[in-house]
Amino acid sequence: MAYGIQEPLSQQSRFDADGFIIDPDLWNEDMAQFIARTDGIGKLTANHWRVIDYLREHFLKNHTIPVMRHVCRVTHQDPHCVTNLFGEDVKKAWRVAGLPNPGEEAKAYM
Amino acid sequence: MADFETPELKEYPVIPHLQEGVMAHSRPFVAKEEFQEQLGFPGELVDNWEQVALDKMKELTGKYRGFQVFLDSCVKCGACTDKCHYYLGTSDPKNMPVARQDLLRKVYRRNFTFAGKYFPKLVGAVDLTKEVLDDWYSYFHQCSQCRRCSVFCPYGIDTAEISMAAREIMDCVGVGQKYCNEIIGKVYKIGNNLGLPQPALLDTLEGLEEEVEEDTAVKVRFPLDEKGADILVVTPSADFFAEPHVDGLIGYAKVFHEAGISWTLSSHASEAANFGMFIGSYENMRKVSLRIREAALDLGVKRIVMGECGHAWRVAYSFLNTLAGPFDFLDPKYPVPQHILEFTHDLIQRDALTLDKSANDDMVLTYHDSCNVARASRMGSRPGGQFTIPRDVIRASCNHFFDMPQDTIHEATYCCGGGGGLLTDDLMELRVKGALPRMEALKQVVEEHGVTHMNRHGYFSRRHGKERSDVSPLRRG
Repeated sequence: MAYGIQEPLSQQSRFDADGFIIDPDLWNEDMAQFIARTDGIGKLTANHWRVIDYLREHFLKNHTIPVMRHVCRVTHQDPHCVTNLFGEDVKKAWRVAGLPNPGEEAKAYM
Repeated sequence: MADFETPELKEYPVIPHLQEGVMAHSRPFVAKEEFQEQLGFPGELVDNWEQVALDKMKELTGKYRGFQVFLDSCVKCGACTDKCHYYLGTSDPKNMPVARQDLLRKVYRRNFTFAGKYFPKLVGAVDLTKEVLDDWYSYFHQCSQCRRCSVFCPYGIDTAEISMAAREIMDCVGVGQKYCNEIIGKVYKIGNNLGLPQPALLDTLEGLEEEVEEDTAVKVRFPLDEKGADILVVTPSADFFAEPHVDGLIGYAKVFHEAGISWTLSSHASEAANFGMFIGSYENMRKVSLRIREAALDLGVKRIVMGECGHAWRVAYSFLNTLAGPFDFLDPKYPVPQHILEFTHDLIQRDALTLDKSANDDMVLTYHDSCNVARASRMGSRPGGQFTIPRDVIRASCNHFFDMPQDTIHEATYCCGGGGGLLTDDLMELRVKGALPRMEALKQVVEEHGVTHMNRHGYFSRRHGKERSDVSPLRRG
């Protein structure tokens, strides 16, 4: 389901119809904070950043999405940390981390 | 999140009053040109689409005799009308199986039957128009090809076959569905629906090895592309990423470890879920299936075992030998292919696995029969094995198990709402509404027996369950 993107018009072209950034290199920390506010996640804490940093690192290395439980384990957090921090919809974490559309099948299970 | 009304779960199932056209708006996104073309279909609606569609329909009635018999033999008895979960959940009369079939049947009659050619009004025959095509696109994407209606039809008419044919015809005129077609393209390009290349698979499997060792202090291996292994395991790529699916994969590895049998996954055939079936395309289903044959030959395995996934098993059990056989290079002592539950069940029967049931005492389980496993395949060597084997395995590993009501399990099982190529957010309203009958049955065992977990092969996603939070938690056991 596409997100209601509320970024300024100048920013909208950076996102695709599903609300994912098109070019992950154009992402920055301010944008992450902005998306988190827009999506109702609130202010990003150190625990959020551990997840975001790992998601980006994993994506830039493998170009795919990892098992979320694995993300929690390697960032030394509770096994449900991603959903606890970002909400049930894992697509929000992916969006905040400024990563591109993971594809139809991944979206179905996020 | 939902911008539609989630139907109320009632104490007893109620057949709803008709609400004509309430789901006419429900349609999945259309596939873009590039995704159509990589599957061998035109990129957009072709100019002479009416003729192309009719030619395809004629070809399919000749190729699949069942399809023509189903189009010819309906007597409008009405036995199927209240059997479809999408009708029960949406109240739209076009979701009654007979009405869904008639969307295609009326065009078939007009063009290919004597009565329809000369007396169309008498037999409800109509020309193929853009409005008819639009209706096809909406309502043939509101069928999860679950075959429940066919169990109750005195003629055994299978709406799934008609839906598949309709989707094939639509693909051939250039109107395909984004979700399925984009995913099939990914299999051709990378090897699986998720687009996980070999390094990503390796990374994930290494992570799982570490996790299992940390949890159990046992070094359980998750081999990938290992030549000379006895068994090739083909499982849906969702098992490499989604939760709780990944628990299934961990379970397989533990079973193989305990049994001491060598096995491997394959990066070439890293996808059991064959979306070619959803779009009714023999050619695409065959192309995806051939990857399993290629991997089995390349790795030199003796057996093929399929991981859990309802429709993957339907394709594997019913069609794999036709699509990608003969498998005369495999060990003839074993069925080709074998289901992971069949394999596990056999080990349990031989006391080759030590199971501590009490470790699962915090769970009260029920089991959702996948439509495709229940009504489009079998398991093991005995009739009904697809019902008894999964339950035997659950009972062997858990002390508390309760079935849902009899008219909602086994061959009468209700769809989870998201199978048949409909597991996309574009169709969330349909999925939530279509899950109503299954959710009512689940609610009953939650209330009566305190069920905490539902084991299943089907397609409930976490969010799917969340929409029905009144019966949560819905974690898979």
